[in-house]
Amino acid sequence: MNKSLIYAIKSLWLNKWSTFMAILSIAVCFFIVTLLSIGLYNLHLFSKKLSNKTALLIYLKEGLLTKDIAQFTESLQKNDIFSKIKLISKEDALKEMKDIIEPSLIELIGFNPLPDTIEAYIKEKNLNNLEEIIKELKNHPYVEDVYYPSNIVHAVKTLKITLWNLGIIILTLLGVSISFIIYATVKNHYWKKGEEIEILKLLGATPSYIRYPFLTEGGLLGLTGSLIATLSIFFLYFIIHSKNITSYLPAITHVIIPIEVFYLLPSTGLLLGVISDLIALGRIRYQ
Amino acid sequence: MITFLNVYKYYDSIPVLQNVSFKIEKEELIFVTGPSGAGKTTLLKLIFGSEKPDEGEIEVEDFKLSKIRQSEIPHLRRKVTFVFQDFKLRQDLTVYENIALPLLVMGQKEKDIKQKVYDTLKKVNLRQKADILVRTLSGGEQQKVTIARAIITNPRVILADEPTGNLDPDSSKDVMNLFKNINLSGCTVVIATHNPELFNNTNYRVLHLKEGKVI
Repeated sequence: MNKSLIYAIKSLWLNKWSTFMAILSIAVCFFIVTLLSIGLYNLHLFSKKLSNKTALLIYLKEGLLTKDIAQFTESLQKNDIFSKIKLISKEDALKEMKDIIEPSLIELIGFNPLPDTIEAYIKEKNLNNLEEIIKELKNHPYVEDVYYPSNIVHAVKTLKITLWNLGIIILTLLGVSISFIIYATVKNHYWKKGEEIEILKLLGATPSYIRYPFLTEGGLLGLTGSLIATLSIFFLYFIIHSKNITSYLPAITHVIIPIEVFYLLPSTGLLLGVISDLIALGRIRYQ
Repeated sequence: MITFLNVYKYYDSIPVLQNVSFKIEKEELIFVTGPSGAGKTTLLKLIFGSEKPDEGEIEVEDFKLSKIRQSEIPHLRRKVTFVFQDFKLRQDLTVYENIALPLLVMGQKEKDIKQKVYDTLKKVNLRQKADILVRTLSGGEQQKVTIARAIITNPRVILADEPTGNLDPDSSKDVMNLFKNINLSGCTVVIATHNPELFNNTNYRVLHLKEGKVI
């Protein structure tokens, strides 16, 4: 293994320009891949948060007894569909409204126009049956109307799915590009050493003896490229959390960079390098 | 040691070897001769596992070459080594490094390698040229390096294809003496040549090939 490593490093150094270009290209690809993945991950989190934080507003009919309202609220709480139920009485709603609108304007109306309302938060697993839930609630004799900001949630979901699909296509293309760069670099080095390899075969070298230095070479290319990308992401993380940036773009501090990136990225680089290498070398045949 | 039984070999349906049968005994030195295109090189390639026979059976040591798998070939080549007419040396390496290659391939330790390489260099009278780049040597010296590389693993069989083809008479004589000494140390040697001077007036067996047939 040590010999393979020394041999691989020597070979990469001998072909330093192609090695440098390959590592640079791999690093750029991995950097884009990681940024894209972080973007998609954050979009996923945002969409999830939005769905979880958006409540159904159930407006109750006028003239219901307090006992009926309490009973209805309790039945909703017992229901497995909802994660949280909050009753807002018409008096509380009026108080809240007075915080937003000038109280004198409300007093002009002469009565409390707001209905008793129940805020119902739906469990994530039931979000797909939203329309059915709303329909069922609307049919309840105590319910006047049900409101849910479905347009916003739907728009975010559509955006998420579109970007997610687009992201996966780009990620796949970049993954293939990285593999191809490693494949082409190693294949090129392999061809350059054609005579040397032929001599080794004539001297009884086993396929693994011939392969190891090249596998190490591919692994090193992938690992170095991905390590540069990892360091760049690390650097980026500190930049976006620096005061200069956050004062201009406060939203950027909400971007979450999962810690897993810092070990998944180099591992992926190493793995892609070795796999691309195996493909590049193919089966070693003796003649 | 080496057995050929009704062996046929074709290249693009043209027969190169036809119904070839012979046996080479252990520790024998044998010449394979014949005009160009008689099938001498093909015969050596068959013994070395570079080619497979189209018909017939070949047995070298414990290897049945008609059915040999690719994975077995490296092991065959540690027992059967080849001395090429065009040397097949790494021109970017020194004499020492070239001779050490088969031992490195076999995974031997650096310390053992050093001892064996110097012992072998002594046998071929190249001890003082160990650290010289191979490309700076003469043809005769390069052929000696090839022979040293072939014998360092103590093979059972050494195959040599026109080993004196590119050499002057003095170097040819040196090389042939080396083969004789190697044979005396217990190694089977098969030399393909079209030069009758190498085997005339010797007691060694000669296998004559003509148009792919043993005559």
